[in-house]
Amino acid sequence: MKISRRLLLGSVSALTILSVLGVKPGHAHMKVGSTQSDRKLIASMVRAMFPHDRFPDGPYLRTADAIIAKANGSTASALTLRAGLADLKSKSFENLGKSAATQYLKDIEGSPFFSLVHGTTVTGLYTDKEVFRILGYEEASYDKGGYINRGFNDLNWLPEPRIEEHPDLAAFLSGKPKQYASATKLNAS
Amino acid sequence: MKKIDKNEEAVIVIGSGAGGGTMVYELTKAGIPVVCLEAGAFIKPEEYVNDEWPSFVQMAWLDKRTTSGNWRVAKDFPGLPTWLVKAVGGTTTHWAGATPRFLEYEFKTQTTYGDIAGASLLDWPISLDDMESYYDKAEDAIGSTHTNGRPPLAANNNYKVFANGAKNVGYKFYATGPYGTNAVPYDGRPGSIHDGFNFQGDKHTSKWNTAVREIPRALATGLLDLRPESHVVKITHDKSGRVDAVLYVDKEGNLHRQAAKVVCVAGNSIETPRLLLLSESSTFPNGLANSSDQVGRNYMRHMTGSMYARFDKPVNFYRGETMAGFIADEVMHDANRGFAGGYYMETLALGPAFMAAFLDPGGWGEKFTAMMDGYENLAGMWLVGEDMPQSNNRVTLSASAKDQWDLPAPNVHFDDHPNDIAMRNYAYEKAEQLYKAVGAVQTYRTPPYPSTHNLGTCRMSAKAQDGVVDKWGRAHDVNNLFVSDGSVMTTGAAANPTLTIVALAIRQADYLASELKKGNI
Repeated sequence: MKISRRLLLGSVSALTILSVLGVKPGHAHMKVGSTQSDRKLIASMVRAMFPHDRFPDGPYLRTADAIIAKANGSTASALTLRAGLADLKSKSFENLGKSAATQYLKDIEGSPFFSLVHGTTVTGLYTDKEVFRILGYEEASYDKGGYINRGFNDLNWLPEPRIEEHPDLAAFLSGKPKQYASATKLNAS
Repeated sequence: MKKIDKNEEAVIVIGSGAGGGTMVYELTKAGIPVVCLEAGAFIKPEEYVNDEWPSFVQMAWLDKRTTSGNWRVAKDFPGLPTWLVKAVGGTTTHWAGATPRFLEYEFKTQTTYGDIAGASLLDWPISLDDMESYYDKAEDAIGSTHTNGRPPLAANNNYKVFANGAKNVGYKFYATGPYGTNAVPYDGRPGSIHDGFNFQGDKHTSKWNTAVREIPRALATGLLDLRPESHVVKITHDKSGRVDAVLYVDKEGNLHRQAAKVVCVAGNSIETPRLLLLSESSTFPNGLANSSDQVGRNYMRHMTGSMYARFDKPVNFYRGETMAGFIADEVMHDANRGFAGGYYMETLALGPAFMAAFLDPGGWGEKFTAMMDGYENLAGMWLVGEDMPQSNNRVTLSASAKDQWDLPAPNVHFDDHPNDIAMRNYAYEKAEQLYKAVGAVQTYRTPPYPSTHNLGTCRMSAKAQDGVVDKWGRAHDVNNLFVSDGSVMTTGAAANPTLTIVALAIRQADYLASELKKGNI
């Protein structure tokens, strides 16, 4: 289900749903961001935005590929990527230190280019199988028999808690609420 | 499967979720043939997908919708006001499973809370007494743990953190339920294998879902004509104002007409009022059953928010039943807290894919990645409480946006009431205290997700001018039109709504079956 990665939830719209369903609006013939250096530049922007020391370059580069593919899905977003790349180059983004790179991202936050990169990363970087492994997420469980014998309750740094309801619960839930007059006053003010 | 002729005046149920699926089963069980028109496809448990985005694409309701108002969902997810399911089984396909009952005073909040500025509070025309026996039946249908002798689910890791935190801050009323998933085999379905993925459909079928219980049983009566991928676009009426047919579109876009004796609408709280508004006519220019101008108003979505906490040791909170953890200590109304109504705390876990999308929509940077990087060490809970009904929080027909059939899309307008905001902030603080009491190193206040609890847009009222339906869910204006879902809720209470929707549907089906047998409809 590769299409799901392109689902930019931040702007679920007719356009997004069309792309989910595989119906593409008219797109540019010229592919923007096709060079290896463009790819690395975008990956460095994604890393600055979502820094994980434990992640190798692979997931960031695959996310960059998803961004480039998404951008080339329409003329408007291809132009957005083109302008964004030009600006990154003019600012020598790859050579900026951590705080300068963060400041640059803050300055462009909310722009179409930032949103393109951010939105695609949220659904791209964090659905990458290598990232799942690094984060310790075990993915599909049903075909492995669930977690009933694979650690659903293996936490051992806290005492075993009660699982039954407290004997006073029924009395508590059928009790009378307290002092309702003052809520009226508070909300009216 | 039974075939009912399209010219035969049939009992029609629109939708097959908690309300519609229950109606279909209860009516066929009582010997009444039913046509069920469901917009979604019949997705079987073996087809459910243990993967968040692919599952979302498989079953979420993604028809065109728009949003307005000051709620954050309108900014972050402008085309996705709700997270509901379009499939046979409706949203019970992906519901989490929490099954608390309403409290006695939650049926009479106008009386209990008094007038609150900006809120359109109204007492229900029914009481907890009227509902008790139906709650018993609904709990037995769902198989709620902790009720009627059914055992609790075992504690999963997320619950261990949650319950120990609860104990450390002095809460008493924590447990792993009540919860609508079998801890042990029950009602022909197996006990849980703690496989998680509650929001993606339970492949093991331990979780109650009308697509695995009510619909197959209704089909087995031989009295159900189930028509999936049949999207109702209009309810028509005769000269006397009685409903006489529904018009629906099949998956190829062909329009069909089914003659009707009775129509029960259960399309969830966005599509139900939308359908009534789309069913306008020269007799009912403001929409069907809308002489009160209340159709679509008082849309409620519960005060919600989530608290995620990072620890310095592993939790692996995604393993096991997602919401099998419950704290009731904050549910009782107490005005000393600075707001009306109360809330529950319930365990919650997301996979990395959804966590990245929902933890802090638009978020980035080190504070965000610290949480993601500590994914194995996260615990999480959902805060769910009563929100104030407001007349202008409403579902309307968009003047410009159209759906796939070129019909006006619904617009969902929602402004947070000051009471909702006060309760949310209070609840966040309590949740932070709870997690800090077991050693959290970072906590994160996550804003409300697209609405999963959608209530109130055809509310039940004693007087016709105050609402849309009467105490049986029958339209005040139209004798043979019923609303059979959470739209009828006069106010929302703090409780997750599914149990109450099922209990109301069983009650309505009893009434409707009796009226049909007496020849009163």
